Amino acid sequence: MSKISRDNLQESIAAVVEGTKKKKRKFTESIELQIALKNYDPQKDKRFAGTVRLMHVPKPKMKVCILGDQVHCDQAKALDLPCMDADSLKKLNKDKKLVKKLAKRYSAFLASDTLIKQIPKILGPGLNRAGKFPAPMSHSDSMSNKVDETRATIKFQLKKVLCLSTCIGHANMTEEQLYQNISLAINFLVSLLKKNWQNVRALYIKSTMGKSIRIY
Amino acid sequence: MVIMGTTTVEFMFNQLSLAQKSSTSLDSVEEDYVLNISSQNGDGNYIAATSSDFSARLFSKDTLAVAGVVKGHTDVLSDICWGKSDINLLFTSSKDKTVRCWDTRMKLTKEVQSFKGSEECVNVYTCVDINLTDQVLCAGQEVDKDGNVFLHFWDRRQTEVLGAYSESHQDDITQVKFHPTQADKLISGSTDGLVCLYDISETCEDDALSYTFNSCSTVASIGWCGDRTDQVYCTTHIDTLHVWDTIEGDDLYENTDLKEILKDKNSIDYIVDLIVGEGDKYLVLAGKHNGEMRVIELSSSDKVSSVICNLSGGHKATIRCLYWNNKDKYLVTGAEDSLLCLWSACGNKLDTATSDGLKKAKMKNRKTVSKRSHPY
Repeated sequence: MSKISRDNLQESIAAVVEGTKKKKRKFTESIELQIALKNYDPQKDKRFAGTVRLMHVPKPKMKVCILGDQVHCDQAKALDLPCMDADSLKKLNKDKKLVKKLAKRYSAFLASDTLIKQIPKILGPGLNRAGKFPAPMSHSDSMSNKVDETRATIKFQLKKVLCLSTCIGHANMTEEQLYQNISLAINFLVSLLKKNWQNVRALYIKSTMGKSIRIY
Repeated sequence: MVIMGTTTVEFMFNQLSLAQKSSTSLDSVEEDYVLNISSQNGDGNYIAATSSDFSARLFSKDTLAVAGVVKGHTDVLSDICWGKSDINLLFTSSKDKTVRCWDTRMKLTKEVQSFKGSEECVNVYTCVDINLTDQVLCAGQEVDKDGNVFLHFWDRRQTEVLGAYSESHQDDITQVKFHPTQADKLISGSTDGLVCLYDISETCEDDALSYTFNSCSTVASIGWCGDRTDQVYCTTHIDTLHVWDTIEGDDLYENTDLKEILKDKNSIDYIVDLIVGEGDKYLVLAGKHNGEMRVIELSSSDKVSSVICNLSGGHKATIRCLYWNNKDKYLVTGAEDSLLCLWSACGNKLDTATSDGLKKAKMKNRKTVSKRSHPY
């Protein structure tokens, strides 16, 4: 973060948050980080993609469904999380429409490591196709921690153009939380680049409906 | 016995030293990258390397002298592989929407066959592999704007697409790899984070998909490993390594923080690829952007990682690909400085050969360069 002073970033965050407050929308605006690269050739340089876990959950509305064995289903019920066991999955009968519906209902899935092996056999490739194949979870993992990890993990991927954006928070977060998420995301992205900061042309933050503000 | 085995491996890697260097191009202002390498099977003597100038070059295995240039594609070559039963065949996939087959016994400027995609797909091919019997060719694509992504299959003797899988991934496919000894087993990796295992003898994709493994990131490279080649590994773009068992579908090993473990003196910037995985040990090649490399041993039983050798003095830029010959114990690496380096365990004996090899490669290259300048 050496290239961006703490004060400047905090000012920019304040401006973005101010913008969301001035004109209230009927939904919670999300806040995203936009990155423009330079000295980078997507044709031949290494693919710039990956995932990073943020400090604070950027999309609180994300619904995570547990596909669990008995133990995990009991835990999920105790935590008031939606869950399904192998039998109820088998009832879908590999029906493409039903699997698609299931995938649509939730943003992500977690599955017990014993069950996850059978998912392709029970459901077919439906969850793969939806981009929602479950992440594995064992009995030694804490379920609430695992769920938070899933909700706080963001994905970024550079395609053919030299810019990408990723959601790092929402308007109801505190400025300090936003600051922590933004600095974590920037540091991680820059660490993956071959020439680090020399590959970064510009960084912007913006809310869904607001103006973008340049931070680097 | 196992301990004996590992000590020899370590000893052998300690002995690794730079034996040959070869330059793929000399006169360019901006250097062409070496993107992928693949070694001829059986007793073939060629290594093929794709370059970012849309061509691929053939090098002899022991001297790294240039033996030919494969030209014809009109966009970046995304992957390259050799025929497994007919070792003279070379397959290349390209973003120019073709997969081509070349024969080293014929002219290298004209493909023997060009495989085309189907009309409803983008057909930007990102990876290719051929199965054990050389009958089925498989290539993965980039995702189209509706979020469809296809794996295409061809009968090697025909140019029309034989079949396609479109349900198992949701984003760009980065690699496909057939099993080295079982003709029907195939794995594919994608930037949606999944590695899928198929049995292509089944008639439809639903039944063919045997296991799906989730790396929870984006898959960079995949491959088969393990004593009985029944394990699948994957490296990701955020430099994690995962290994799964393909019989039971269990997680065998996961390393997500190699960059943090190896700090200061031993720091690394990225993982190049897995070199070899045997028993509970996995040898990984990791590099720095200045061209230094380290061979790192990871163990699934005692969760330790140790640098077993450093390889420097070869490359000056990011290392992109490797080929490890387990029989003759040598390593070939390709990097963004347009060089191939051959690292062999024979030590000092090759010191003189190094300069010789370099000279040879350069001379050969000058020839090709002058040839290339004619058309313009």
